[in-house]
Amino acid sequence: MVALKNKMIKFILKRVTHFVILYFITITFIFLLPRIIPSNPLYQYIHDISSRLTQGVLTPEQIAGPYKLMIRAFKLGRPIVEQYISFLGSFFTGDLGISIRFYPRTVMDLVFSSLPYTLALLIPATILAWIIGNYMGAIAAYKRGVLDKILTNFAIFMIHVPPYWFGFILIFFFVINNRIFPFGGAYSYGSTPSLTLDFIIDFLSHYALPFLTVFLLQIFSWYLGMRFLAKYEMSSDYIQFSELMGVKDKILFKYVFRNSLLPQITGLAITLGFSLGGQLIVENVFAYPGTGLIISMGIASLDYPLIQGAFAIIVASLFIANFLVDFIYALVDPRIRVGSQ
Amino acid sequence: MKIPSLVYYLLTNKYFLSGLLIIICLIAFSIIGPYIYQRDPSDSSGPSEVPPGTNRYPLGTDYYGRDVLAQLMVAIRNSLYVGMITALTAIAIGLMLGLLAGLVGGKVDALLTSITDMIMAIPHYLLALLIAAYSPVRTLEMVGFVIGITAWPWFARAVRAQTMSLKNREFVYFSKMAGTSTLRIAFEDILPGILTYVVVAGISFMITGIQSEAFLSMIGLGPSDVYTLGKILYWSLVMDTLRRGIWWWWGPPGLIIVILSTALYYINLGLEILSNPRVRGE
Repeated sequence: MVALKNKMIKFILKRVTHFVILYFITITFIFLLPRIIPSNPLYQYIHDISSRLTQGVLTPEQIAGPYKLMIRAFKLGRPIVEQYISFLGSFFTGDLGISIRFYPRTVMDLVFSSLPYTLALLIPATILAWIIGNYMGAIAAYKRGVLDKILTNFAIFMIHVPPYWFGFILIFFFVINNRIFPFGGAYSYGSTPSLTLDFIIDFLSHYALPFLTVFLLQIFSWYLGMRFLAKYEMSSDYIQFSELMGVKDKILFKYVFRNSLLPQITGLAITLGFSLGGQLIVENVFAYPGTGLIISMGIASLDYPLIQGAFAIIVASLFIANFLVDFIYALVDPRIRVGSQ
Repeated sequence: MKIPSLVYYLLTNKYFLSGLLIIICLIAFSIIGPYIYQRDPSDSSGPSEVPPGTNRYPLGTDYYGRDVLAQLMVAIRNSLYVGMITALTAIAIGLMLGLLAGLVGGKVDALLTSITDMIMAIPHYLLALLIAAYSPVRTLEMVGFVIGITAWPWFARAVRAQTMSLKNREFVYFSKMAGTSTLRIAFEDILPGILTYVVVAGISFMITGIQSEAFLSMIGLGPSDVYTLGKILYWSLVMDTLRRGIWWWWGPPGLIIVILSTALYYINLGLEILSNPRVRGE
């Protein structure tokens, strides 16, 4: 038992170091990127911003102020090593700087204050789509026949539909043609978030279309993944043998379903980990105030502190999700613990 | 494998045939189309937002009075071009690193594999987005290239795995004994064996390129000053066509993205039969 515990701790330490190193390399990449691209976009950017801040009144004294502010924010006057060390330090302590688009709010504050909206949208949509898609996929693979063929061809079409364009279509049918749902924002303009029934209904009616956009499309990618895995499982010897032995359909299906599920669980964890970044364009199209909208607004005005900060947060959350998957697997399946030694 | 039997298997495959037909139609539409339908896509002298169905403007006009049909013809060509650049870039990087890691092995392999795994941990379009955000000028080639240099990891990994399994075959041992260089082994012994797979991956990368171009364009980081399927969608979003119900501006480009990607996917499904040993005649 003690040996097992030690092994587990060793395993966890190893994975944590792995992801810390990955994060370190990612931050280094974010640091180097603007500095290795020819014509140094950062300098150009600072020039643009400072001229925008002075609103065309271009006396040298007036430019000097904001210009210096920007130079200081990126520490561009200093030697490159010093820039790098302070950059690393701030990204590891969570100080991601101040947004320019939403000045003077910090990047951390912006991302985490919009996060509840994004998570409220993506977590239910993802989990529900995962359950339905997996179930449909396993049934299609098990039953084969016409149903499988029609569903699969439809799914192949649907996984190539860009989510934002699907959102366009839903808006066209449910907002423009039939005024079933309102459009834009998370609640009606002028109402304040509260726990009254009116507000909840208002929120849900705004929530419905972005939810359907994400949910309906995701079903089909889970469906295709599961169908492939279940088909592979169906061709395995033990299933073929049980089938010939006349094992009941219900039991056989249960085995196929369970044994094909593991890769899909990994997929779910990674998708959920990634949901921190929101659905960039879908949230933008519906003006749904999640992280995706904040980030895409930042990109539209080339708010570099916000872009790189959000990127670092998304990558960190992805790594954490990956780590959790590894951890859960090691708990469930001892072979993985041993294999990694 | 003999060429005639290969062609036979492909042309009797429903997926391959329907995919190929759709692609040929769309390419013909975008290349021959402009000769038959001679309109300047940038001509903004027309009336604003004419609904489709008129003789003068079969697919209507956009906010600036430009012909939507003429824009689509140019856009399909440009989007396919971006897809091709993506495919070439990703295939070149993936093949090089995959073959190198698989054939040389040892420390080189360990290093390349960890680089590949690292880039694979981050969704490729996020990386492309970050790089594109720092590019002051974005041409079609640039956008295709940026998508390509972020999308290759899964392919490099697959090439490495296949190379490892092929390099223990007898014919590779014979080449080694004959003193053939690693480079020649890569190109003469390994590459022919994975050629079908390279083609399949190339077509997948074209889908990635077309879809990611639309993604980058929608977020405002697409190629500047040209028509692509993504750029038409972007302008329709910027001009608030959703609220005003101007569906003919955003409908066709989106539908074409879906049809193009699905058709390419079908071609890939058809090509999969070539990896079937019975078809290969082994």
